[in-house]
Amino acid sequence: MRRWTGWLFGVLTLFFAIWGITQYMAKQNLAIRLENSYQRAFYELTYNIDSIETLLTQSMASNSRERQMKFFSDTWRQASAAQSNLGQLPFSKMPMARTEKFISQVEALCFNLFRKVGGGGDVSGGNLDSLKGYAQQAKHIKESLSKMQPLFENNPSWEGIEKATMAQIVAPGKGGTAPGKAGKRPSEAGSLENNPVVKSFMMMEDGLKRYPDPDFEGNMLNFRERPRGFTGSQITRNRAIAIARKFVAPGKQNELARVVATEKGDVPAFHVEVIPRKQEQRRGKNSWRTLMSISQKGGHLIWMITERNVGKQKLTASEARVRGQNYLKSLGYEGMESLAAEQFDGVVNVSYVRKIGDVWIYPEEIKLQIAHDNGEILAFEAMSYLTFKGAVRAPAYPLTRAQAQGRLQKRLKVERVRKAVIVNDRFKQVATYEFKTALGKERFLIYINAVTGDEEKVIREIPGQTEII
Amino acid sequence: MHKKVGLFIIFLLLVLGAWLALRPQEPTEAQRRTSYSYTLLARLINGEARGEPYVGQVAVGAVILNRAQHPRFPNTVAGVVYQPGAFESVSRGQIWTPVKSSSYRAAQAALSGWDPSGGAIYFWNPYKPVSRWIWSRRIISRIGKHVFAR
Repeated sequence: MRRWTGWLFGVLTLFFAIWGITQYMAKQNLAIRLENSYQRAFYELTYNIDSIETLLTQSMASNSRERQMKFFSDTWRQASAAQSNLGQLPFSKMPMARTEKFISQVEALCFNLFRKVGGGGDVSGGNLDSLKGYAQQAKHIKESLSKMQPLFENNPSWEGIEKATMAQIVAPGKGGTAPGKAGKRPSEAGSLENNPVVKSFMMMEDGLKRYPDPDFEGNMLNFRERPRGFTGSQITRNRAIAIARKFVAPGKQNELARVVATEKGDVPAFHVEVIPRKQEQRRGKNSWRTLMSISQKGGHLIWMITERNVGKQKLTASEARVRGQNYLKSLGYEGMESLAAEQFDGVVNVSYVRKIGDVWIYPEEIKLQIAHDNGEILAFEAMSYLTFKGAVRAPAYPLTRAQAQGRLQKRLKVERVRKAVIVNDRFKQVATYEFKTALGKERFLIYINAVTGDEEKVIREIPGQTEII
Repeated sequence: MHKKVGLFIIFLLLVLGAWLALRPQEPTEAQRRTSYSYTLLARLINGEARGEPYVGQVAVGAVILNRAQHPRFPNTVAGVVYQPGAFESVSRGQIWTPVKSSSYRAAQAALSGWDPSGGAIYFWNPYKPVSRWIWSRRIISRIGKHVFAR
């Protein structure tokens, strides 16, 4: 009997020992693979920064247009890779803003210069100053990164950062931390801040702050169009509620409406919620709820989103479109015409664009989401409309349609022409001719500037995705 | 005997019917076509904001898209979603839970241009521990349990 239990004990011990060792090895294996992927991202980042520094310096010495274009496009490519590699390191909980800013600015500057030189322009004195400034910053990053290399020689280093970062985000909260006090948990926060690799990166970041911020002409990175449609005076909460009632379906205008929050972004706004008076309509299958954002200045509706189940389709797409059009008209949005529609489960999203004469003003766009069951307007989006409202009055068309068409590639077959004001990739509003063209089975929308004749945009139409009306 | 077999088959059919009715909804073909980022965006919304009001889900989707446009973040939805440690649900694997149909609808709305976050690039739950520096961001609004910041 005793011998029998002895054997059993021995077998069990052996079994668990083998199981444990296998588990440990599997864990080690995964840890090494993770470490390797971080190492790869780090070394690639080092390579990208080295290349950026060299290329920026070389580009300043070159006087050949062709060489310069190669330097700028290579730098642009390396900067894009650097951003991708930096994004793969476990730094999401640390402020690496300065390094990220450097990378994105180099990318944008070199792209601009590539276009400038390619378009026949010359690298100006100001451009050279910017290049020089960024080359200095690149040198600083390069040297900081190379100083970090010994940190990686002995032990796996990224694992520690990874663990500390995860501890910060996935630590189970002890009954919830009050706002403003969160994160002050010395053991976990400390281990991240005391990590030698993190320390080195923070030192690099601090060092970078000592360099002047060179900036460059044509920097559009932080460009945001100044919204011009928010005209009028400040409104009260009660006024916001009254405005909100106008936008919901007629049957819902006497339901409960209240301001639930204020928005403090670029455009301060009230969030107004409309919910059913009847308790039983607040939960379950027939429940609904609408939230709207109404600007504090002027009381303009920015967006509206309604949450409800949509029943069987009773409306055709074109009926829904007309409903939307009438809805906008009844609320005082004049001259809006439907431009495109996208169908989803139970709803259709239609975009309406302002038309002045025969010119479509694309930036002044309002999107509506219309329910297929009863034509209720479920959602509304007017940020673009309110940003660009009234910026264009009577766009000039010096080039004739035939002249503009002459700028198209000869192989394209023109199927339709429209006049349209668009925002180009320099964030300017330009009057264009929109040519709907065909090349074999492919369809393209091509925009030719009505003043300069430049090709401003080429859009490929993907069949079945958006129906252009 | 035959009666028993018949009842058993009816029971099986009922189970099958219940399963068909209750299983997580697949996106329709029209939704799937729309964008490569669509499914991933829906997964992230599902992982991060399942219990939130629909508007809050759209706002989370909009934050991801705002990040992909922002110069200081990776340029793609996948790059933003999988940035190491950026989202708790990705780190913990919750984005692989079955996706609810409302998450798909929210992803669709965000991709169609709705941004209830007011242009935010951060969001967090103030009642959970978060890293200290995130509180230095400018808070724009609050929807459901999340605050949205730039």
